[in-house]
Amino acid sequence: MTTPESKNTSFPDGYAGEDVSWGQSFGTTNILRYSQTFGGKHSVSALLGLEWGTGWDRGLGASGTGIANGIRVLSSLNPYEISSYWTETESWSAFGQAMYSYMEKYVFSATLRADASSVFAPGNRVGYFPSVSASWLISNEDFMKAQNIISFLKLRASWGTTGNSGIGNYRFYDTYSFDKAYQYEEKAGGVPQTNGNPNLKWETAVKMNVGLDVSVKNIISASLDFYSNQNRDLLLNNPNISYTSGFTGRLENIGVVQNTGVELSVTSNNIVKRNFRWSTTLNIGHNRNVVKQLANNEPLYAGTTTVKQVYQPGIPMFSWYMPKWLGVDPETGDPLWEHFVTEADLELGVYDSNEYKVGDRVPSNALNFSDSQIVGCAQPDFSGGLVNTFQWGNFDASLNLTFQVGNEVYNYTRITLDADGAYPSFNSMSLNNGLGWVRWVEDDESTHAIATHPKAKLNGNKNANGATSRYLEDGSYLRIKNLTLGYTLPSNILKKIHMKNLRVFLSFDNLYTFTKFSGVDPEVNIAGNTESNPPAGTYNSNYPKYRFYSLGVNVKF
Amino acid sequence: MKKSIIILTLLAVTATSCNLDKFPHNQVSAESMQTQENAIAATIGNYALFKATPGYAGDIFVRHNQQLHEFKSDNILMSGKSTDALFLAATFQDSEVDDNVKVYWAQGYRICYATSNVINVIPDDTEDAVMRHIKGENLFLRAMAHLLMSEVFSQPYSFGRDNPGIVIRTSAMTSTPVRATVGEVYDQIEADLKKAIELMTGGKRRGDNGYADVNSAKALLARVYLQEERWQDCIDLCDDLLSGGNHLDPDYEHLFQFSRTSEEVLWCIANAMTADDYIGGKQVGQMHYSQGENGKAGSPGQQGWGEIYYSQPLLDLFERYPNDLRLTTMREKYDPNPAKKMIYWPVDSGQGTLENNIDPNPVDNGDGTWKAKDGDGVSHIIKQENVNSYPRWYFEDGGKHVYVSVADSSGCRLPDDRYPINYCKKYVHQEGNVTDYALQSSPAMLRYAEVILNRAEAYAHLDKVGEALDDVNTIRHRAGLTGAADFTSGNMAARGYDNVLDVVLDERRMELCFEGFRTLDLQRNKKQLDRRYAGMQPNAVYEYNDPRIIYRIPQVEINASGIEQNQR
Repeated sequence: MTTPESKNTSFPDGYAGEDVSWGQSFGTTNILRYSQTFGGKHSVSALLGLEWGTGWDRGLGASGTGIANGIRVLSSLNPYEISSYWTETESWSAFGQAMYSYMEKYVFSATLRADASSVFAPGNRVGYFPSVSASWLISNEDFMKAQNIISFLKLRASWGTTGNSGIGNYRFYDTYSFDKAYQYEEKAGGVPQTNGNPNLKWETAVKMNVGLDVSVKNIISASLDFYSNQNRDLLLNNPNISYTSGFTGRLENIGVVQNTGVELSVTSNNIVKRNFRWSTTLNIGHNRNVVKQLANNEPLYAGTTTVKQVYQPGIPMFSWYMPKWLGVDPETGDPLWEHFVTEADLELGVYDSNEYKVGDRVPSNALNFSDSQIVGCAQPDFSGGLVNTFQWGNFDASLNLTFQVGNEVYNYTRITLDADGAYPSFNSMSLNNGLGWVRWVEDDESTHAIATHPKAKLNGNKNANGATSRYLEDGSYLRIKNLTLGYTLPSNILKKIHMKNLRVFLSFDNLYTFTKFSGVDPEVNIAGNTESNPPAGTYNSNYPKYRFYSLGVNVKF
Repeated sequence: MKKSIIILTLLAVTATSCNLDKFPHNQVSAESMQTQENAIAATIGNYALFKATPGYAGDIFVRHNQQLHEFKSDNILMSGKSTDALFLAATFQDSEVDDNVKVYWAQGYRICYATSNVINVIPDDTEDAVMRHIKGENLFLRAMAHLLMSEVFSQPYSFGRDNPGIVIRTSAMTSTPVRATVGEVYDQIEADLKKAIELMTGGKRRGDNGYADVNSAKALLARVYLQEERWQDCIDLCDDLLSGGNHLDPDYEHLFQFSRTSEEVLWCIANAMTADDYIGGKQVGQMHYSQGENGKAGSPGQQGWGEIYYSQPLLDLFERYPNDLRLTTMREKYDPNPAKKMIYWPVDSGQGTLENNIDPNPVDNGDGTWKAKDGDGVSHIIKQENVNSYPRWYFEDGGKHVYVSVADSSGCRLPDDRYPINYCKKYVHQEGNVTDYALQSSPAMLRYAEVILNRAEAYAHLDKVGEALDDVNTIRHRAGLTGAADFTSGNMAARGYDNVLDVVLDERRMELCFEGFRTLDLQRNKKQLDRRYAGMQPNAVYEYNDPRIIYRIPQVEINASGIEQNQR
């Protein structure tokens, strides 16, 4: 009898592995504080700090094959693989902060930090990061005390810098690697691995923020924030080096990225009665990440040969770069993409120079004649959430919705699963998915004008399943993130059973998602960099979010 | 207050005296590797670079090398679609942004840089015998990398020495790279190989065929001389190599499955029978074979994509002598049924390619002819005639003869497919393994059969017909073809050859198919590349100097260094 452990075709006799990791870190933070009030109106405080940290991490892994049923340790197995790692880091920081406030209405503060880390080369280890902020508690002013509509009003602003050293260890050395990949005839070999950069230094983030907090009659309160952050000296792998050097990249401080946005948060106590309450909180934000500068200002591409995003100064990050899909030719059922007329086209007579000029957009049914262009962005226009809470007697309920609008998701699975016959041995997506998908069928005239899918052909139709904006879909969604219904036992019953509180609740997570996306879940990872492959915002057979139903009890003794 | 000052000072001192110098434990400094003590470890790494996977498992030098060289030739039938860039190469849609040329260029220069590091720390006049041999091996590897990349990215030598060649990398990069001329690159390759021969003479191979020795360098130099049209130099070097016998392995399966030990192999890229050397997707054999059960072809199989088949023209060449061992031992069909016949011929697919019209149930008329139906249900009478003294089946269509294949019934990849499977087994079943690591191989990069054929071609160009045919017949005898199957100056013409060069080129085609020689053989001899046969590749003929045959330099390189791009 075989156990489930031995069902993997790569390891028909079974496989077992053990991984152990251990590490140590030591840190100390020392802070000296001072505060003093002068003349009842002026309040001053200061602090001085010193931090130091060191740590190491080690790991050991071993695995073997040929496991007998019931055995759970490695000693009876044939050795398969062993590996281990060992890294060390050390860092220190010194910082100081001073704060002054006048009459509790005006507050100013300034900070300076110096950070040092072992991941940088000698000479570049220390980074200096200042910041300042100010706030004005307007509602404490005399002219505000006269009215009683606005109960709280605060204006705040700040400008500051922070550093990031999260680049991985040892990137500035020239080293050889003895990775297993470089074994030959089962002997260990070493090859040049890292093209060291002794000029690596801290990344700096400059953050600016202006915000307003307001409360109206304790019923509605809101916060509005504008922010503009610039990340400079971004530690990116610069792939723009000649491969003839023997290397394909070097870690450099190149790149400036600007991240601006606005966030609004509004909370409203709609109904506040003795036995019934209803309040709503809305969060909504708009954010744009734009590349400001790159090495040589050459565009960088993230992604594979075909599914690409372009990083270029002035263009939002995560912009999709590929041929633009124009639909299906109603006469022939051919796929159509956009081509820009070139000088050569006019000279060779491909397009009549009396009717067309350079740069005109024309349809083409040949994929390699079509031109890549920016066809969308994986970043949303805005996103946020809406929470409604209700309380009626001893019953409570809350409904949490989240939404995202305007992001474009690349549905990578459609290259093979919606391929018009290019992959005859794969399953295909059904066109009956309520999204208005219609296939062009030669004998059925009614499909010709409204076709979204070209004529199906064994082994594919003119590369219609190539990576183009055909599979770029609107990933906007509204999701019922959570619905919770609860009941709290009344106080007289609680007293009888000697409990302080007992509440029963029913909770539903990810109840439903409203979206026009053809894949399983439009929520995809939108964080990444030029090394991301597939690029951020790609949907590729992602696991869907689970729908949870849970029943619970809160008890307080 | 005093106490706090003391504490503060102590802390400040502790913090700033901490040690921020950390060195990795899993890597070794480049400085320490570039010494003689570590030259052996570095050399092992240099061999490994030919088959190491820097990222995606399929991105290894030897796999891309075989595909870039062979997939544009008229030997292969591309039977399926793939998102892999190899499909673009096979269908002549390749461009400068494809992943395969990018990785191939990067890995090739990694080899040139890493070998140069070792070469430059060992003096030529070193007394240490091991170090002499190590330096020779690294020179050989560097010459191999430069030569293979030149074949892919620059014009053949015979088109002119002044054409743009690749970048020469013989030391660390200190200035903006430029493309040397083809002549300069080949001069560097020749110098490296001559030095390698000098340093390795009197030495011994340090292991099995996976390691280079003096004969590997000589054989590669003979290939270089052939490409440079230095016929006599090529013949002299081949004579030297063959002076001890022709070293041909009498058993083809043994030759390819045991390439690490076969006496015919002068150098192979060795893969061990371990999991590390068998990471999914990296085997060269993946595209050529699909493994079913017990080492038989499967469709679709459990291992391997098996999308590359013998092209029909190549099969027709072999079928002239159906007992050719190269056909019987290396070619495998799927589900062959000798009791039944099928008849097929290429027709226009409407997509710029040709596909086969297959009649699985042709009617035997009993008088030596057949009846076969085409796609429109029309029946044709299939007859036989002699073309260049060899029998060929055909039917008449409007006065023209349409040639067809009459073959034992066998299977395609999918039920409605138009291409019967004909797998090549040169890259599978290493050491006879048909279950574990079944698609493993250690591709032979140099073997004595090529040396003999190089000499034959050099003789042919010098009009030494007798000597050329002797070498051709040596190859044929090993393939089990003797007696009337031999070529003589007397029977050449009747068999359709008006000069001995074409006899040599056809023998080269059959012997070295799928090993990456064909495209360059046609180009440098200024022959057309005729791909008018069934498959997913375009139905087209290319002139020998069609700029699309050479690959484009990767765009990332052009962006970074501004070197000249190849014209298209």
